[in-house]
Amino acid sequence: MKLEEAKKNMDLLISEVRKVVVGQTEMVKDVLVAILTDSHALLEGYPGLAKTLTVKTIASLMDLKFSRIQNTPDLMPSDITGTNIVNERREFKFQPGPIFANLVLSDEINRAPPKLQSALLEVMQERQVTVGNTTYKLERPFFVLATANPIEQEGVFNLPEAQADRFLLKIKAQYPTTEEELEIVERYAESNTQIKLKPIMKKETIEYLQELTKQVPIARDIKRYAVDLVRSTRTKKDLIEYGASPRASIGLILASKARALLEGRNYVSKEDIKTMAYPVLRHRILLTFEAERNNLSEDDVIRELLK
Amino acid sequence: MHQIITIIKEIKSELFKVGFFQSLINSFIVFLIFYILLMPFKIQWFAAATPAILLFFLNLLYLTKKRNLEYVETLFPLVNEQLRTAKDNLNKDNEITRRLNQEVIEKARRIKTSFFINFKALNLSIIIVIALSVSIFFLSYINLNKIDFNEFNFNNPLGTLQKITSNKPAGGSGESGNDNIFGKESVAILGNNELNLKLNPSSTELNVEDLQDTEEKNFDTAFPQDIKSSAEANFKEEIPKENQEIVKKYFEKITEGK
Repeated sequence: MKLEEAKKNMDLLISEVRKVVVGQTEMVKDVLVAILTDSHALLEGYPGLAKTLTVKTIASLMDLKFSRIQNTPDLMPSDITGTNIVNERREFKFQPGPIFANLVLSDEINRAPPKLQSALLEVMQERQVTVGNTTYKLERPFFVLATANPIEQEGVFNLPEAQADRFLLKIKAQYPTTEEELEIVERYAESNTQIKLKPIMKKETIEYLQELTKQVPIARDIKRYAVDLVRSTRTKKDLIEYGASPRASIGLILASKARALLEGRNYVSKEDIKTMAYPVLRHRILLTFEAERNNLSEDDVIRELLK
Repeated sequence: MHQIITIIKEIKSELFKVGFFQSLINSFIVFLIFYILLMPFKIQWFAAATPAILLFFLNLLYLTKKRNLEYVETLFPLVNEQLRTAKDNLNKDNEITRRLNQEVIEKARRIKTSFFINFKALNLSIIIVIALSVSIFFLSYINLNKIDFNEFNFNNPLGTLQKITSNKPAGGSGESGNDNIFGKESVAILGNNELNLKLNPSSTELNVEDLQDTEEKNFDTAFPQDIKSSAEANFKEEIPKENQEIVKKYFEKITEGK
């Protein structure tokens, strides 16, 4: 497959997603960035902003094994990893959980108990599951797309910063514009048209695109710009209490490469770094009390760093 | 791969050439300025050349450092970020870098040396050089170095300047500061032979007090004896006999007409 074909494939995927999801173009692109970089993404937004719908739509367009975990506070780790069960011949047999898929939608991850979150994040990091004495390797590609609701206060377990770091991107779902909302209303409230989607991207294509992403070249000074940006989160003590780790530098470069590929460019631009800085850094920085008192969000602080 | 290396080398070489030329012009301007400033002080010209040479090397170093591939990209945005990326990834050989290199090669062919020349600055530099050169000609004409600033009293600058200018006029021949306008005796040497010359200064100034009454003079009215007059000699024309009659008739005709 050539670069043009890859670009065409990605464009086709985005246009297919648009048939179902109105607006949220940046969110869709960011999800694709996570897939291209073989990483995980956390989608955060208020209820009804098509987070789950976006992930489900993307999953149905890819010829991948898809599973969904609806997190609840009583969920146990074995519920997602799988467990050994006794079969009819009275032998222990491993019954894989929903984590054994290529694309896992972990809905409302902040509703899952810390034990489950921890188990899930370990799987995400190691890409393997250990049950008893046996370790099971997960099939590649493997990515977890989790959603979270920021306004819930009751019965939620917010992800600790160290665990949120496992996600390459924290994608924020934005409210649609008036025009987009009108279209949503027309599409889903006034007609019963069911849009049937067919898989358009094979597993091999995804793997090839992931390989191609790593190959996207980046200039040394742009690489340095990205590293300096991540490092600045550790020195801006008046606004940031805890800055991003070197994992953020790796993530920022990788995400920028994927973004460049999505845009059909064969090099990473400074603009890619600036664009990807928000989803890569926003969950990796902890604001100071002073910044919060001034009503600054993570995005405001990142914007400040980019100046 | 080889092509992209050649192109990057070519671009760098052109940048260096332009930087070299610009440094040369800038240092030449500095040389002219210092030359003008040092003209009254009877200091050798190479004193003005020293800061110019220093500036040339510093300027060249600065321009070489400043004018990198990023600078080329700002002047030629078509290769923005691509040129640097291609240069930094020369050691990588994959589908994307190959395509990037190909793209950069195609675009870089359109880059011309003239893109690197700031014509406004160049024109300004040339005008400054011309103006300074004209200033040097003018200052040489008025012979500014005849003013000896060693005698200059900085406590009374106006008075000293008046004194200097009234005692030693600018221009003219001979050594300034020498009261004898006829020069030194040693000047009267022709080759190896010393000439025995005595120069008598004469004055053309009139002294009204020396004027006396006019003397009366009697002149002889008789003409000198040796002045004589002599008869006018006739001119004999040698006209052939056969033509004499024709000539005679011709003259008769002329006289008849009067």
